[in-house]
Amino acid sequence: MSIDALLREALNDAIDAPPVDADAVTTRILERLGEAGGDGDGDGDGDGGGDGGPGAGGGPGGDGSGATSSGSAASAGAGAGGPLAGWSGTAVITALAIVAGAATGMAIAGSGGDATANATSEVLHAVPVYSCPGDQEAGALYRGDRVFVVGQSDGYLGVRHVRGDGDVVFVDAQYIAADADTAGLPTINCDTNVDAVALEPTASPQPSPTPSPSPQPEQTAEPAPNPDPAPAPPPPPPPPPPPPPDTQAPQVSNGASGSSLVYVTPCATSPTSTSLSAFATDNVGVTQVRATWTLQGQSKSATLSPQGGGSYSGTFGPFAMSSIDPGASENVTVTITARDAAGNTSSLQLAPIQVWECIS
Amino acid sequence: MQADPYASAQVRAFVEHDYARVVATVGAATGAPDAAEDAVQEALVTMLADHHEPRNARAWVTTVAINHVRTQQRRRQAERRARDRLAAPEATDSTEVTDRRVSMLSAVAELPPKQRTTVLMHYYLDASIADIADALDVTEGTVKTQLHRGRAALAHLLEEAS
Repeated sequence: MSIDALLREALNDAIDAPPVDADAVTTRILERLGEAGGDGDGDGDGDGGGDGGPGAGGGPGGDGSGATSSGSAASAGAGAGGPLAGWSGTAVITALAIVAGAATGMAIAGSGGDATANATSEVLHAVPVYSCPGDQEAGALYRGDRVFVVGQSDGYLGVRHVRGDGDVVFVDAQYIAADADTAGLPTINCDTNVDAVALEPTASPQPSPTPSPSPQPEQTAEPAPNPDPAPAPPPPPPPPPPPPPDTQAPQVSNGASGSSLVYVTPCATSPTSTSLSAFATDNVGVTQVRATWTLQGQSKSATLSPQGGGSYSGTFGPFAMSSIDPGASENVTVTITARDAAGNTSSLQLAPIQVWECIS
Repeated sequence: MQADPYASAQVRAFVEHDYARVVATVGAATGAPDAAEDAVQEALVTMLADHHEPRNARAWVTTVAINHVRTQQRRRQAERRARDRLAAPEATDSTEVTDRRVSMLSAVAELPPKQRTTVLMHYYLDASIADIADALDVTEGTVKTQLHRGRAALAHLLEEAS
């Protein structure tokens, strides 16, 4: 008998396979599979925050005149004859109200806008903006913001903001409720040179037109000297009060990883990385979502990019062979942290991901 | 949640044909038979939930389960105790057969972990060299080397037994 056969026989003698109740075991595994499937579906369940969807809920405004009556930016782009008149012709304007509680859906509502504008858009919630469509987040538009829509690009609108520096940024078109058709806007991309127009700060008072001199009546007598010939101009309106401080932390939910295990490279077996996803919202705007973890005692992190609708995604891995002890594996807990512009943060821990070294 | 019929059939087939031996292999490889069954179930769930389609599910699940148990062992720093239990099981039978079984298990337990896994997968699970290489993510040459060393380490025991 060969040594191979001897080994087989000896091991079969030495190792007793346990008795198995096939029905019970199958049922148990299917139950566990169901639990794992529920966790891995990302936004399939959760707190309901992710299902708002565009178009839900009408905010203030509606068709008519409500738009210009709320929000500190209301006056900025109003008149075609004002400092923003140069925008007319590119398509335009206003922002305003927000749909209260539209934590996820960024619902679009009608807007009255300004009759003198070619088009009026309404930002209904804090939404991320990008320097290029699909690129890294470059900032956010907030409640009451006015934007000038200057073009479109694959589901995004290129906009300028009255507080901005003149650069065009892109925002997901679903978050902008235009009160005029934007379909005819030119297609632009992040390299398109759109004519810059100097913008006025939102809070600046509008200059009043210089009054033209009224005709003087004929005078037959020597006029009496006027002790105060130049009437004092009316005082400028007081600046709007500063917004209240943002103390509300973002909400993070529906965190998930695409796989519960990854191999270090250069293992041939996949996956060597896995996706991370989470849903983050904030009453003002989420400025950053990061994933952090500790592997072999070293802290690591990755930025999750906005995917629209409050969804963020990033990648866990790949990791070099040196990331883990030979022959070892490590359960890694990933924490997703969302931050807003005021520095408020909140975090969510994902189910552990097992990182394996190739066994050689 | 209702499992899809394909997954149910896969689980059923695995449980009926491979489950018991895989659990035994994981128990022998890790020295933690009590943890083996849960680890095997976890590995099977991982395979199905993450849609892995390994070349050999039996070898793949074994590998995943072994890693799972070892991770738990490290976390609890119980590996030494588990190995001790394997090396000196309770003497419930003093027959020659039992002695040989204990000796074989002890000898296998003394093998380095990767060698032990490879030997068990090949000689107990009847996994091919190619399947083992795929499951462990190593080359077939590496598997052959591990088998050769494992065989050499166990040879003296087999010679005595025969």
